[in-house]
Amino acid sequence: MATEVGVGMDPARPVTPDAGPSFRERMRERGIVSTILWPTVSLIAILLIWEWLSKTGRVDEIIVPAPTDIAEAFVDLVQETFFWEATWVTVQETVIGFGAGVLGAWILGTLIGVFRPFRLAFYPLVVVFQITPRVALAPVFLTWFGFGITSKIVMAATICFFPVLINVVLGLETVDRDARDLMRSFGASKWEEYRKLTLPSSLPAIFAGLKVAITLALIGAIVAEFVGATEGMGVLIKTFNFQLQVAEGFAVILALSIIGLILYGITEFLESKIVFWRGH
Amino acid sequence: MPTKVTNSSGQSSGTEAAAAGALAVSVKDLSKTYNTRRGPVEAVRRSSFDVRRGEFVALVGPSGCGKSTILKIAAGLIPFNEGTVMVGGEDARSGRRDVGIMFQAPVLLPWRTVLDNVLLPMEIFGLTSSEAKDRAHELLNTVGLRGFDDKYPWELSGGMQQRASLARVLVYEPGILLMDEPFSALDEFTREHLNVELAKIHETYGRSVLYVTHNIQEAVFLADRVVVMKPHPGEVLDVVDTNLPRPRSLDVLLEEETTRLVTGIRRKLYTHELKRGRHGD
Repeated sequence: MATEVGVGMDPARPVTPDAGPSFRERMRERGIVSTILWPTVSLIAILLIWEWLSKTGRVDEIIVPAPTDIAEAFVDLVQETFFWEATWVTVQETVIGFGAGVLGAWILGTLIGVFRPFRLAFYPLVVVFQITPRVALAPVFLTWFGFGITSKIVMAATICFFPVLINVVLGLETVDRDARDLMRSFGASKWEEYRKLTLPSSLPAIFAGLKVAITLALIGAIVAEFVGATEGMGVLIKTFNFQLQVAEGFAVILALSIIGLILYGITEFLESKIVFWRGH
Repeated sequence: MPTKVTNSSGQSSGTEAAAAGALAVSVKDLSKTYNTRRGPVEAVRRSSFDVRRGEFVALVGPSGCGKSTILKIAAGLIPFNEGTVMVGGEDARSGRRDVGIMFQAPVLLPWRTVLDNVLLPMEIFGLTSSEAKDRAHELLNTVGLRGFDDKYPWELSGGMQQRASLARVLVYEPGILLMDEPFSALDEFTREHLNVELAKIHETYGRSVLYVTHNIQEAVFLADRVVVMKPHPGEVLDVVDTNLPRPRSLDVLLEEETTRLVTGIRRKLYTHELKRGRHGD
């Protein structure tokens, strides 16, 4: 379940504005039954098989605890203060890292998209960094910024920087030629053209990048916590697994997917409000 | 009705100085070559024609005759190589309040309501006021979009979008309209309907219009004079006075004279094609 959030998102590929319909659009197209009923049926089926495998001893219950045990562990966990403290730390790292990464990507992406010298100088470097597995930088950031929250924020920011950057540049490229001509025929200044045409035109592409980035930011924060941290959900997962409290470990992973879904949902909600014309 | 046929080169002499003020658009010996990756492409070769003040001139020809290029040059959107292009007595440039441009696509911004789209040029010219808003609203009524002020462009049909686009170009009252096949993406009935309204707007407000189209009938119906262009490279073949009565209504399309003019222009273009040993479509 924990991997659900990151599935099918290849960080090396720019995300197009038409990356996919939103949840609501899917609902409208296919109807409530096919959108919600079928995935629920398959999920219940998987959980039942899992439960059966674990409870009947076909797999070791200590290594693969049954879903009911995980649920029980989850219910216990959410009553603990240390769990909420860890959650708060990880959410902070994710959101601040996301914000910093997006801001940086937006600024550099705009410079690359608007000024040709910037593009020539930096875009090839961006492409090279794009192929580098950025999680490999986590130990470096640990050395630079220590065991505290900073190294996690930097990791989250770094990992979500590139998909946003690529989409900012892509968004700037998709501006309608005629619309540009129209603005110029009115004698619009560069700034007016950017504010009234280029920026809004590129928002759908930018939001496609943001939706990828928010899930990547969470991955970045957790990976950085694995590498070296004193607090956070990544630390909890590691600790529980070392103590062979696998059910508790899974419970934290379940909590992480819920957080991922909430963050993604917020981004998608903002998209539907801000880029309301998307798809038309 | 006699049809006067003048050669393009015949009208650019003598009364030039006196005519300068009376000319909305003056294109003289214009040449334009695009530099593409596959080498230079000659789009327009030594072409000349005028649009007098208050006159409706259609630029007609098959694709590749450089008609859109000429329009973009007149709008100051692209540079050219040789010749002179004067618009309203000044060198062609963009950012003028006395020139309005309309494209084949409506080019409405999807995040703005119809009214806000119409007000876009006013914002850029720094003319936002409640009067501007009132005028935009009035214009939307005039072009047949009553009650659509607060709709978004994607809630409108193609024809309605182009009506909104027309209101946007009229809102700042430019004296010269440059139109690049504005209705060619629409179905025939909608197009003819909009052409009648455009003729009405031209007759009412007396604006000078340079109208690019590949539709000969449309050109004859709308224009006082039709500039006929041939392709590869774009060159003016002929300038034809239509002398059809105004106000123009749909029955002008049914008149024999219209058919005669259309056939005449078509013959000129096809004769040229045949001379080059190529059969047109």
